[in-house]
Amino acid sequence: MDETDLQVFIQGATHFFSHMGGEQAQIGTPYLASNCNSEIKGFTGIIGVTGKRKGSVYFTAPPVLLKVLLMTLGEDNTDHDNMCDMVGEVANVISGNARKEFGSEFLVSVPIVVVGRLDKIVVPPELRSFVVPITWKSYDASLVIALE
Amino acid sequence: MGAINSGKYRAIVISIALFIVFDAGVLIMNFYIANQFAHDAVQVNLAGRQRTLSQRLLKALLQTDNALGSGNVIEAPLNELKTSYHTFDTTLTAFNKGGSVMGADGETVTIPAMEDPHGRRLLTETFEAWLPLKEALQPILAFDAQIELSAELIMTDEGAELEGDLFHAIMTATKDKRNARLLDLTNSLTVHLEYESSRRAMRLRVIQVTGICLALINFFVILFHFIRNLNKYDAMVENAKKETDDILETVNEGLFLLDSELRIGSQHSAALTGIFRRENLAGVNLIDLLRGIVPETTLNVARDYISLFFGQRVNQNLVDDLNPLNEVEVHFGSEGSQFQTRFLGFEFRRVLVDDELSHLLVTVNDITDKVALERELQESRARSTEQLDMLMDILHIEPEMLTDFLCSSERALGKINSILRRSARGIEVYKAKLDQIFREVHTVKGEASALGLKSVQSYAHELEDLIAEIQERSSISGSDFLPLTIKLDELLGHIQSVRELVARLIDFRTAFDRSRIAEVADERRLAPRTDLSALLHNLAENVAGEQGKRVNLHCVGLEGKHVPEIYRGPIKDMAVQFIRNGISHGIETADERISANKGQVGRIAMKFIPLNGKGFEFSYRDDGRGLDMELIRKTAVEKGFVSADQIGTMDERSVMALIFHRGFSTSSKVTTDAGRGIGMDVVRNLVNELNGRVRVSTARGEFTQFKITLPAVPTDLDQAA
Repeated sequence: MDETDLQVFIQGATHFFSHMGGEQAQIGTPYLASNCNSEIKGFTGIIGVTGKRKGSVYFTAPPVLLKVLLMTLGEDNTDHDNMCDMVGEVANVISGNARKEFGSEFLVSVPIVVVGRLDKIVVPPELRSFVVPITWKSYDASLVIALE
Repeated sequence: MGAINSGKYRAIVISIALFIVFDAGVLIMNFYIANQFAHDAVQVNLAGRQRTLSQRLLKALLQTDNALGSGNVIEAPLNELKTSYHTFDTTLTAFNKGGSVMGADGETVTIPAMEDPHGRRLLTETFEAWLPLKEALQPILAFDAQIELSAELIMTDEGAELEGDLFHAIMTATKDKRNARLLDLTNSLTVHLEYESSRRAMRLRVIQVTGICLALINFFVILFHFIRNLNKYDAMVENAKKETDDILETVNEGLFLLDSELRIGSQHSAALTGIFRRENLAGVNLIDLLRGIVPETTLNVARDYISLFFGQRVNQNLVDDLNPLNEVEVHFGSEGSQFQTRFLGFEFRRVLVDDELSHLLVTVNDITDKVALERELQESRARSTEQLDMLMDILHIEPEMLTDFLCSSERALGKINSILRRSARGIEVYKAKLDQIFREVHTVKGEASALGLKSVQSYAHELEDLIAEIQERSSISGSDFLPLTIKLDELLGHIQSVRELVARLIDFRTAFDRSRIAEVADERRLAPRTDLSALLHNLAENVAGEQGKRVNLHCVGLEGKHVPEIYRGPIKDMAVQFIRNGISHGIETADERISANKGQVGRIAMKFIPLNGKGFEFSYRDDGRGLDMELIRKTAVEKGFVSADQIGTMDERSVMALIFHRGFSTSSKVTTDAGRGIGMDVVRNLVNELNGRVRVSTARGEFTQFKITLPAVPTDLDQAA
């Protein structure tokens, strides 16, 4: 896995928080996970990636982070639907950044949002994914990058 | 094409030509006979006039005679007689020999001589009847009629002569009913001419009817032929279309025609919709179709390549060879956000009409399975080559020893991942993480080096380089660890490959050594049991070889069964560090040893001895150059572990303890075996974890010795381990 490729996804997430969240997000030490589901934190925005590399990138966050994020953006309604929209929006920014940076080498899909375990999503079982912890205002989210 | 058409349409052309010929024939005949009718009408009229003239002639004769006898003027009846005579005679002559004659309307008409036998016979008879009368009339016609008064005339000789002539003429006309006969003959001639005319009219009708019938028959022939041919061609076209449809419905390939605007033609194979997962493809631009499922670069390549065909003269074979679309990776978005990747192969053929390119015939195949097979084959080849290299790397290592190593490395790498996973913030915590990771990596590297597993050793060394590089930074953040995590992933992957290869090797060996099957199974069930001394001998030999030194290792109590299970890992790790450190720093080269009056071969002794139920002692001793206390002092000050003032007050034991500091190394350069100052740090950490103690003793130029005492292991714990 190429460090530059991974950095593009990480930057997408940090850009979102520094521009929208009003406060920079801290990146923890990345580690490896053999099971994506163990890293899921409630709400997950999923981006499909193909081209030079294939797989998925997940931005997963607990409800509390999304609620605080919604309120920071001036949205008082923090119901389930809005939290879905919020996590989808972060994934969207990550995917947009990836499209911009990778150009024609990658095809990046429009994100979908999954609540709870990733039952529908097939992650190649032999694939170790990179987990990048993201801390924003003391709330933890993760960026899980599972690419071949 | 022209030849086919003329063949196909020949019958119809002939039929139409015949139709025209028939019609033209009827028309010409019509024209001819209509003309004949006009002539006939003139002749019938003239014949009718002859009939009247024959009677008028007699009447004029009688009137002249009467006028003469009664003394009246004879000019009018005589002129009438002359006119009637002249007209009758010229007309009769014209009927006989052909010629011009005054018509009823005063205009001159020309009639032909009568040819038919019946007509000739009537004419002959008329002449026979006419000629005596004609002759009798001659003196009368020669009479000058300029004498006004008949009374005077009759008195004259001419008058008397005229009267005689008149009498003779009247007698001739009435003799043998000549006059009646003339009337009868001229009447017959009229009737005959009328009959001839009506015969011609009948003939014309027959010709017309025949011509029209033939034309009608011809028309129906054309109609029948045409309809039959149309039906036949319709059936052929229908049949051909059905065949084409059947082909297009059944064929597995995507087939379609592409015009110069790169639009798909109106017909395409059914498989095409399946291949592109889209309906209604007719008229769709191929580039638009591909947009979104292939990267933009591929799209540009496709556009450029296809436009080559529509350019000037292109060599088909050359263009085929260039085809960049013979294996295109396409990605279809699906319900989940996962893409579905397929491979499509495009082939292009030029369709020429009159030597001009009209379309491209495009064949598309879903070649995903083929590509997958090819790639699998390639990967398998690459894997085989890699495994062969790996095999050369591991062939000299005992499989059990290797399995043991793989287990411990995976444990160590798992531990590294756990360290990475622990949440942390601040440079100090990050540095502590790096230290811990370094120790684990160093242990793996040491063991890999002991086994001579160069690939793993090299991965571990790169990891150490990365850690060292991060540690030197003034500020450290979480993302700085990313390359480290990536390298960890690679190392894990590599170890996994080695493990797969070892498993295959064991299977292979098992297959050839059936007598050991049960034993191998047992070995696999139990924790790997290794003769540590063999590993250490191997390591000593490798490290010494690399440094151009010779060493003799003597091990006591390090066989697998003597070391309690719980201590096996740490003892092995410590032993590895001692040997690498000892050979790098302690053991001298052969030349140095000879100058120091020592044997060429350095000696290292390692022992693991139980202490009468009070624990164990693990010792290391080499007969090398011993610890250089001055160098340690100098290095410690230089690296900032202690200040120059402090070092002066430190006793020898405290100075010796400095070598256990992390990062302490007296070596000036970093090699795979020494120089990072980690080895002794690893030892100290292990001793601490095991609640043991370490003592160092040394004599300059004579020896260095480490003695580690470890507490006794409770029996149940050992068994559990």
